[in-house]
Amino acid sequence: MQLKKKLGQITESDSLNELLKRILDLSQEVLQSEAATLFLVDKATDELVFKIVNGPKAEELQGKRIKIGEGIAGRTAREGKSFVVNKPRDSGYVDKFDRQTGFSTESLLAAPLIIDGETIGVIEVINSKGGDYTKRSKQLIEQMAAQVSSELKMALLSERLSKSEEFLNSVINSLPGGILILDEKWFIRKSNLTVKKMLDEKDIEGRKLEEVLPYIDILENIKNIEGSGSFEAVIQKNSKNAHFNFELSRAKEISPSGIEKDYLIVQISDITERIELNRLKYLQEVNSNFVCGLSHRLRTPLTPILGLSSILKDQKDLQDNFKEMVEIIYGASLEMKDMVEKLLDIALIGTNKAIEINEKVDLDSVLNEIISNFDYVPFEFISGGKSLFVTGNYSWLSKSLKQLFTISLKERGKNLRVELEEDGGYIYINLKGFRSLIDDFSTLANVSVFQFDNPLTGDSDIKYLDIPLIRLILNRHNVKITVDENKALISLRFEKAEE
Amino acid sequence: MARVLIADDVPSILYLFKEFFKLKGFEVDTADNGFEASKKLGKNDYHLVVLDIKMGGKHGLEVLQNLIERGYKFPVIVCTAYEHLKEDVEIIAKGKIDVDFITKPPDLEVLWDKVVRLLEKNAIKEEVRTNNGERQP
Repeated sequence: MQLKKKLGQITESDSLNELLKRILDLSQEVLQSEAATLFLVDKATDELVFKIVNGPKAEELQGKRIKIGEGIAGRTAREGKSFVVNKPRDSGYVDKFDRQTGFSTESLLAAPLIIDGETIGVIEVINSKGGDYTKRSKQLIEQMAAQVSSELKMALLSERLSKSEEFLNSVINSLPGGILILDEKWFIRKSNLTVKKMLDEKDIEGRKLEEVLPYIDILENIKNIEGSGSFEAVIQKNSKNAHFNFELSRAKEISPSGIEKDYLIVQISDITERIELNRLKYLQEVNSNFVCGLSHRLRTPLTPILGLSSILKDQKDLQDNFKEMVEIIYGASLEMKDMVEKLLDIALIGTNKAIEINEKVDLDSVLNEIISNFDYVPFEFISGGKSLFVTGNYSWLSKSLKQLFTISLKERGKNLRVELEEDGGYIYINLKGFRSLIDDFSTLANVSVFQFDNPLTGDSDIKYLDIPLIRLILNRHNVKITVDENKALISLRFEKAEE
Repeated sequence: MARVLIADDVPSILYLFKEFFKLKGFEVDTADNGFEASKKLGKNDYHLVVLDIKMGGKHGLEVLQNLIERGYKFPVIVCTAYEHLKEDVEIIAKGKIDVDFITKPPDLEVLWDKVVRLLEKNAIKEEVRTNNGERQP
């Protein structure tokens, strides 16, 4: 059988070890040798390992090691070139393994296994059955070595690929949105857990997209987008409308054998809550504007009623019965004025321009509301009269506070950066980009720095937190806070955790 | 006798302020839109101006701007409930004329306190009579 044909059969083998073994067998057969060994370099120890061994002493030699540079195989590895040695004893060479195993090396042929210029092993045949190894033998073993090297390279590549696939899986599963990766024929090749939950489907991979997403408008949209792009669509889910955003991008995969495959990556985000929130905000805005406008309009007719009755009631020459009438008008108009003011307050609360403050607050519950935002709370709150003491690990506390402030302010759609710094005995929470927030919430003007007691110095003074911001944050968590003459009845003191 | 100009486009409010200032001993002039207010301010001298901001014809802020440009120094009481308009008024008037604000419907006692303070500050010597006959500076 021709060597090429035989090599062709070999490549159909699937297991790497099996494959290498078959190449070694073939080398031994073609070169009519008594034994054959495939060594691999162990970079950590600078040794060659007897990886696959054929021949009478195979079991004894399997797994043994020799130093790189030692013996013919070692030299082959070090110098990266083939060696032919016939009758080694004539030139004074005695193989140390011959001594150990009692084997007698009569002739030897070794070739390096090279991948990308680096020797990664050696293939060696021993004791030619048909006389000495020749130049032709050397050519043949070099051909074998090249084949082994190429197979090893492919194996390493596929190992890398499988590792990168594992990595890719972990990445796409950690994404908040759903991911579908489609091949050219729109079969789903990969998906993540989120998309399975979104679509309420367990087995997605291998199915056609239209089976999983049987919505003509969505499929049409995907079809019409060339390259990358996005669109929004509504899907009926449990007889409710769910809004999704679809983001498309393309990827190309080149296999080790050079075959190119195009993939379409579909990223799906559930935007139902955002859409609902926007709708509610809009309705609230319309409602608030109406109430604000109404309050202002009512002031105009109220002005002469209140003003003129106020003048009349103080007239000394007015008859008693008329005086009484005027006082009633005046009293009613004062009541109406109060209602108009309240109406405006209500309208402002609706737009978050003002915050209702009307209840005494239970400090424990406030803090519990706040800390319920964290999966793990590495500190505890102890209420002590009007103040709260916080004990816990400082770095966790500052991280959590930062997270709390960031989340609360991000919810308002503002791109704010929160930075905590410690200076002069205080922790400062600095909000960067705060001006844009002020535009919307005029009641929060002049707020930029918030002071907390320093947990590290153990300063026992209780500083008041900035009220508007705390109110804003607490309000986001449906917590009310009482204020007394511009000072909040809530304060935090951080104590350094005991080591 | 101290002279006051009242500018408001709502007749009933104009009437209220007219009667109020008359009772306080002022000589009262009125304007029911911004154009008329500007015109009267150009012709006559006043000790005080009560100015509505949201008026037909010419916006109160424009009237105020013209008044300052012509170099007049009357103190002005501005009627507005809008915070951002207050800021605008303060920016226009800063260092040039004295302004104060009232929100409709005003408490007339509070309004009177503001009037007295502004007149005192601007050294208006003429005496104005209170409705109970007492003398105020």
